[in-house]
Amino acid sequence: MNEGRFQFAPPSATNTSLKVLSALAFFCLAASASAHTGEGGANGFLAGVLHPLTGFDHLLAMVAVGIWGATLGKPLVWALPVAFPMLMVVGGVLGIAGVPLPFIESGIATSVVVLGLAIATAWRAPVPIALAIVAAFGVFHGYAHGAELPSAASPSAYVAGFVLCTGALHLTGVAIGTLKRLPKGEHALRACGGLIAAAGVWIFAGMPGVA
Amino acid sequence: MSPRLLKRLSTLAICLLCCSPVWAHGGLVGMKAVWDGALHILTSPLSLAALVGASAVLAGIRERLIFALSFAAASSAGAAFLISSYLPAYATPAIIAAVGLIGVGAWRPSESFAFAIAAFAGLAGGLAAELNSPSVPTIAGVFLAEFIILAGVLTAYFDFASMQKLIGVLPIARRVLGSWVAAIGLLMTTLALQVGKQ
Repeated sequence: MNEGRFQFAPPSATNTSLKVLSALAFFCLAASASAHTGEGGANGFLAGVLHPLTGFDHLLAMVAVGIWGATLGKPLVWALPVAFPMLMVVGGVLGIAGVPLPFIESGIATSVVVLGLAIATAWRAPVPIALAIVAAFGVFHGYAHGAELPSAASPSAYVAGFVLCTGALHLTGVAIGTLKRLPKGEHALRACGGLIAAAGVWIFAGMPGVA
Repeated sequence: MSPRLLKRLSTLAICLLCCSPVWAHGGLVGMKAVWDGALHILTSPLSLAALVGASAVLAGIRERLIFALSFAAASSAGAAFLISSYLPAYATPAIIAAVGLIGVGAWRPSESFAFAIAAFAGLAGGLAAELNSPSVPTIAGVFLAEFIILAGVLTAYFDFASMQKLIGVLPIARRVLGSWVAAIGLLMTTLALQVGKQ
């Protein structure tokens, strides 16, 4: 039937994971680009993109949400990355309105610890509980983003930047979560979770040695 | 050098000598307003969010409706400037948020409702492009950009949907994209309301 057509063998999970990890390694090694900085809308977009990336706490929490979702499987693999931005909006609204919300930084650090521990212990949380946990933490992260929004050079570009970056970090986490299909992959993920939780404790303690 | 190669090189040399001078971008001068209109859509984050939201909601609609829906969206985007001064600032992001939320819910609209969604998403895209008394070629640029992108994405969805590996992924991608669009729309609505209060 298909004579004359190219036949591609479907890539194995191992191949895909290796490719994803190689891509991530290259992204980590890339030097920062400084072209056209400070140009209105582009600056706002970049500021939005950089906000989750430059905050170690945001970065780890977003990636952890993706990894945890991937380890929990369907439907949470997509429900967690969908629920997070939705609830982040609630925090963002509070931040924009200037409503004081106590313990923001502690809440964000706690999110890193809890999500890290959930991955490390391979906690198979029931769907409503997993959603509630991620939703609660989404409010804290959204507040931190939203508080900076009114002062952004181009608010719409800033919002688009941080929402897209947050989503991309979730997807990165989901990609890392595909490691579980590899032999020993589950152990690697649990170790990853342990490191995230440890980093969360370090952030909670005020990042001694750095800050 | 063989006679055949010599003949070919001579022909090439004659052709190169005969060609007229090139005026790079000369033809684009008259088209500038069209590109300007298209770029307003492509460089405005909210216009793009409206397009992505419309794509997430309308993807998977009957193939015969793709061009009609894209036409509806593009027409309302082109006509948006007519009513832009009558609408409050929060209207645009609120429409985008509503479209995004429909995407999150993975709600499959009926044919008539799909046209309403396409028209509203196009309107939001056109309003977010912030064109003040645009010229006809600029409106044409807005129309073309909106029509080509939406029709292209919706058509491509059919190709992707036929791939076995993507069958499970595409509905999830639509929800995820919908959540991003809804988040952008809701945050911008809040900001517009907050600014309006002040």
